[in-house]
Amino acid sequence: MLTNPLLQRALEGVEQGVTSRETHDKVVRAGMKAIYAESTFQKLTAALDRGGDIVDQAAKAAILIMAGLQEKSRGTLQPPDMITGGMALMLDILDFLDSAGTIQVDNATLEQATKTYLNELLPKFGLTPQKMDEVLGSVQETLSNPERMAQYQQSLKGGSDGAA
Amino acid sequence: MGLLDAVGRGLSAAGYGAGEMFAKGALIDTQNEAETQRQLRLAEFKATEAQRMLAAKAAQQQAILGGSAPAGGLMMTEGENGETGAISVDQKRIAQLSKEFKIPEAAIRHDLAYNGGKGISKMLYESGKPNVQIHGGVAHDMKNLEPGVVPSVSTSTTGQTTAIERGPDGKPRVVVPEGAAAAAALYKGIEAGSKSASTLTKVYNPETGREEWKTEAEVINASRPGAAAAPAGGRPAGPEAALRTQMTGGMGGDPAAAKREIEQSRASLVNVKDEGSRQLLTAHIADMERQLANMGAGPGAPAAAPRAGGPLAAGPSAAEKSAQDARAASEKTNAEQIAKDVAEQRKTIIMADAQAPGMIARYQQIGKLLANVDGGVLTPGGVRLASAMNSVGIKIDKNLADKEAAAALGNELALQLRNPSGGAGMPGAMSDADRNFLASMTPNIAQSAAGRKQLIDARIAIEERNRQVATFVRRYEKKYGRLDNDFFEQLSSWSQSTPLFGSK
Repeated sequence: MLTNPLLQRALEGVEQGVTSRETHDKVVRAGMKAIYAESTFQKLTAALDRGGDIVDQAAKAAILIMAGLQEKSRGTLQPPDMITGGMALMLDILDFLDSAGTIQVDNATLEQATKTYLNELLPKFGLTPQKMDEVLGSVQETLSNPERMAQYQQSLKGGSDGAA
Repeated sequence: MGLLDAVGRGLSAAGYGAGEMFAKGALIDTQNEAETQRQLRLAEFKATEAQRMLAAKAAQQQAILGGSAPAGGLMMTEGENGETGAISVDQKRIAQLSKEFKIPEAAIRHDLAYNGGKGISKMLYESGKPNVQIHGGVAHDMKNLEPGVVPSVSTSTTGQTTAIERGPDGKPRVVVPEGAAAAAALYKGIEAGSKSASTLTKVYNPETGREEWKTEAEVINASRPGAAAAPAGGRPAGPEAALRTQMTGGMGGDPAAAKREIEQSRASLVNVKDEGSRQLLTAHIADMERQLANMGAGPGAPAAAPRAGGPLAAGPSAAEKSAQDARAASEKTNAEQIAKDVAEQRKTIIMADAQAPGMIARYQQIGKLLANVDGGVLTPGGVRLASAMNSVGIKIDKNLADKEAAAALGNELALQLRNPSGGAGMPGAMSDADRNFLASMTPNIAQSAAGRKQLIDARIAIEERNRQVATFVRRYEKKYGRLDNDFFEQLSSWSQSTPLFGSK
């Protein structure tokens, strides 16, 4: 439970989008344990000090934690869970700094942190802005082309038939 | 990456070995543990942040105070009330600050020890701010005032301004400020001129034989042919040169004052140092000396004589005074005589009023006796009639026969009535018509019974009128306090309009 209402609402939004709540919780708990372990925490605070904007640094710290977790998981931690789990950790770090009085979190702060988080994290999965545009363009093209849309729907139908 | 290693160590310390993280499913009860760790780190973080802020503040103060920090940097200690904030600073620097800004060392140390040095900036501000106070007309910065003589300027009630300054020997020295002597002389001259122009004095005028009022300036200037009179009101105005001229002209009537002024100005000249004031004062002395010479008050000059003539008499001449005294004495005597006459007349009126009832009764009795005599029934009427007549002041022989006595009575009454000044009636009580009526009575009116009755009636009417007059007197005195000639004028006027015998 975060103390800042804005961050708490954002966290609830993130949690609504998770595919597996159980996995998400595990990732977040593991991340928190890592963040607030004495040895990690000192490094993190030092990194916050050295960096530029502390809000950006908080977002980057969450990504680093998730990177550590992924390494420890030996590839079992899937990207969607990493993204939502990292987002939850970022919100937790922001709430921590807000509680300590280091920053005051408002909509602009949250927007800045989220933007930094996504810009730093997505390329690690090979999702550059250009690639995102290509994907979106492909989706757009499929949606606007009835022939391709029919093929797409057919493929979905065939897939689900096969699964069944 | 160091941080990643640290994260790895953190995860290992948290019980997550490689590959165990999810496979193990051993995340039970980590929520509370993570929360506990988070709260612990939050508390530590807050404390660290607070210390960082204090350190930053101390560094700022250190930068202000200068000097090098003692070994170990700024030393945070605990104050009397447990607050953190005492700062250890180079002791030499404190002494230097104390001397430079005139702040007691103890104040700086105390502020550093118990106030975290927060009051030092205020001390510096107060130290730099001048403390200007005015003493003796001179503004001093009390912070830079040295012990000893404090310069001051004072002006006496007579307009003499002096200054006290520190002499070369450090002792007080009295000096005349620049322009002070000239200004004082100027004002004094103006005052003297104004006073002589507005002060009146009595001067004897041999032409009129009277003492007359003159201003002192007029009297003095009268001794100087062609001398200008003082300006109206004796209050000259204008630039300094004009003032000086007018001033000396106004006061110039008094040689003694001019001499005193010259002496004072010369004495002041000794102490005046600035050239401007010396020149002004020298010019003033020259003016005064010139005026003194014009007054004729120089050595061997004749004494000033008052100028004859002038409209303002201070009093009457001896002859006028004598005549006035005589008039006053006469008026006084006259007033006294009038008062005496009025008093006597009042007395007569009051007495007549007191006697009138008795007199009326007696005349009525006499009238009855006469009626009896005339009717032949009075025996021995002569004696009784004579007795009755005596009671009203008419003397007749009691040995006379009745008819003869009656005739004698009539004669006497007629005689009295025909001559009011003989006592019949008060002054103003009868009209001219009444007096004419009485005077016109024929001598033989007493020879007939009817004539005698007419005489008796007239006599009674006069007594009644006396009573009326007395009533008027009392009313008049009640209204105006006392009798005077106005009363008799009013009485006379009333009598003229109300005759006693007008209808007879």
